[in-house]
Amino acid sequence: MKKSIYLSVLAALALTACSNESDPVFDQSAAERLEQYKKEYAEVLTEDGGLWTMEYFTNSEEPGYVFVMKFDKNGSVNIAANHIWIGGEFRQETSLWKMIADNGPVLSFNSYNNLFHIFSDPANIEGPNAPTGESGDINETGYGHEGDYEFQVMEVSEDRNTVRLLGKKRMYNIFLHRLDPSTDVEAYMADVKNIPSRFSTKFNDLTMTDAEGKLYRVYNMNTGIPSIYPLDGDNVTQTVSGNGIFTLDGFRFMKPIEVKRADNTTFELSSLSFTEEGAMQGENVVDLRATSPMENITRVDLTWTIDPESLTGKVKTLYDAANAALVAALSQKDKLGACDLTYGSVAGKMTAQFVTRIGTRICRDYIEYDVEKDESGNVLPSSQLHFSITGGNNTSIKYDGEVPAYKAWKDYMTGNFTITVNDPIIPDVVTMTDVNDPSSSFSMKLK
Amino acid sequence: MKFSRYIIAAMAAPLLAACSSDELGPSIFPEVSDEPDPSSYTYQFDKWLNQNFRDIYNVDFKYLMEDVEADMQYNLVPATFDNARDLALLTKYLWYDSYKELTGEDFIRSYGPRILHLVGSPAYNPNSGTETLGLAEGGLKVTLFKVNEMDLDDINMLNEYYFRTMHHEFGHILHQTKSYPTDFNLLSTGRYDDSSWQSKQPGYVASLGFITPYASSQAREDFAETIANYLTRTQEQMDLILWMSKQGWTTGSDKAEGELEDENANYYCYYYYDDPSNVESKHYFFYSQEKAYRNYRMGMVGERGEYLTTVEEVEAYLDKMRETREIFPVEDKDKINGYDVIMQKQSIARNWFTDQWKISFDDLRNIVQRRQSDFDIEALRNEVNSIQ
Repeated sequence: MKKSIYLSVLAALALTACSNESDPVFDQSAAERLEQYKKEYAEVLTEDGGLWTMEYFTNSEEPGYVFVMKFDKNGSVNIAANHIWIGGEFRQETSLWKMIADNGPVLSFNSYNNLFHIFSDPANIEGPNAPTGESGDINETGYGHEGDYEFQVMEVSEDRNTVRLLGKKRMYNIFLHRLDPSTDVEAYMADVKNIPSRFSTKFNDLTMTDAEGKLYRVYNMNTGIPSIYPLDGDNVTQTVSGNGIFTLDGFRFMKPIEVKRADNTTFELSSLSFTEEGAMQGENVVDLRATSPMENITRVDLTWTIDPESLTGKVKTLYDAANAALVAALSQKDKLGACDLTYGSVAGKMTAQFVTRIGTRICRDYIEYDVEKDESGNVLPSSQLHFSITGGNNTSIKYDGEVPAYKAWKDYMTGNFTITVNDPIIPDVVTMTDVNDPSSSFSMKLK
Repeated sequence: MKFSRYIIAAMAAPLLAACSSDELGPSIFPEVSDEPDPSSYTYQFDKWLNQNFRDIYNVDFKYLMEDVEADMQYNLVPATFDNARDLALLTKYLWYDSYKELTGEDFIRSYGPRILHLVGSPAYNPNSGTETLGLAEGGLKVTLFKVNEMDLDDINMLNEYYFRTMHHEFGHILHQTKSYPTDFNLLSTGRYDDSSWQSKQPGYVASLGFITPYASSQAREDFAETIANYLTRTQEQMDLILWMSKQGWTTGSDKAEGELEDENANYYCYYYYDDPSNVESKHYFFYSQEKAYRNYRMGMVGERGEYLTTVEEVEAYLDKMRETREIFPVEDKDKINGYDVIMQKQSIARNWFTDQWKISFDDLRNIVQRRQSDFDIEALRNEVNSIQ
């Protein structure tokens, strides 16, 4: 029996002794394939003009930064930037790049570029935007922004116009998107830099609507690190934040964030893009815009001033009549001046007011907005403005009695108006149109 | 049964060996040219490096950052191309050519490092608050940091961060090849402090017989510092260190015996009295510093923050103080003649160079000093720019 086992082993050895002739899985060696990928990716970067925009992230505490890079076959790369860490001015600088063999093909920016490597430099971060903690400036010596300058090439899109890179140390996804070689780089960078200014600290609170129609509060969008919580949930425990990058298309989170619903279920949000109207939307999000105009008009911290040039139809007729009557009753100087919807203190309480000015006199009508509020006292969205006058200061009462046309105009202003806004994200001009007479309208500007 | 087992084993042996082949197959690696590509942005510089470092000294001058060549515990960035080029030119002129002028090419080709690696940023050690200026690994590789802060107009800066570091690391390579006399180690026995040298001030350590605070860390660093400082420090700077070595130093605090001094306390070498009749009104002043902000010279700091870097300036400052009050030097109580110890260490290094290497330490210093005072960077750059 044993003998037969030995013979079997011998036969097996004889049969398998030259098994190194097995079919190869790949036609080329690993080194050759790596070299081929290096060559191919270098070609991708340099072909068609070699102009790319890079969406770059340093760490999870800062927004992303956009660069434009022109890769040359001679191993140089011209990098353009206008980020705050170089003073916000447009600058370009040439340095070196190479596709090296590391963890697979790796794109290495291997000579220092003042615009780019500043995010990898371990020097302390200085300047007005330097991070601060409880005891003042944080010393980042030895760490800096902690950004990468070497990236694994993870994938190239089929059309070779998008490349996904992975930071070698920090493992953040960094995207390259090909630009038309005729792109005016300075103008492009200026356009990108202006995108955050489409968000304003004055309208810091935005309202997001998910696919199910549920509402969320989004704030600090202009910082590039927005926070989100469900309006019908808890704004402490259910707030999630994430850093992202502004591009011409919109905003992309560095990593998709898990937005919490009031019931603590979640959905993923990775990016938001601008709609034609100027609002934003994304996967699972049908709309993102400023809070409703009615909420903004009734905000205690804002003052809205009527633009006399915007008056049309009946409201203009009444305004002109009031003006003529005031001049006739008083003097040529006593025309209507700035008219505001604002707040002021009355008996120690902030009170909504319709303020009109007659020459140097200030007339204050105390008003009450016709709004619906939720349980927390938040003004519910409404597309109509209506307020009633509940009283006024002596000056207002005096001229109401002495100049009926002036009072008639104010009375008309207490009618029902449909509100439209100039911009869904920064609605700093609102237009009121008479519900019963669409030809009669006026606009108010944020003061 | 045993017999048949042996037969089978004997038959199997050739079968097991049958797969060996005497012929090399094709390489799995693609062929790569060792000559720079003429269309490359860096062609002229790469060719200059090949001609001046690789071909003559068998040195791979790595000016492009390779993280695998660096210590991964640091956050580092590459050097700028322009600074890397200038530093390569100066490395040849101030280091390699200094030795070549004295000994010919063979000496540094035999003992010099095989890899020079440039890094743009400092190598910070956040935990200790120090920076590593350079690294030499087994005589094979020297890494230089902070290349992006290079200031060509300031030889003291160049020495502080690059050339003193190069001579220091080369000193290690040489003494690891031929040991220095053990007498050197005896000169400061018991006074080395490897853990807190970085908080010590140059004047205080000079009075103990150390050329720099780092020299006070351990004997072999002391030896390398003795060489590097002697070669690269200007005479003005050496004179100031020797002046410091002759002073007495105190923090001015009355510590009980055995009680440690505050690591961050200043050591002063002069004092005066606000009220000469009142010992309580005693004021200490004049302390030393290894370098000031953007001033890479050792210096003395006056009462109003004056930074004085020559003996002449120091004496003038003290004379001016004497015009307004009586000042007194701090008594030198350490019973160590720092000046003599430093000079003895230099003497040992001098004899070691002569005996072991047949090199005149003083001639080498003169060459280094001459070269660092007369280099013309534009002329050196032309060496690269003129390459076709």
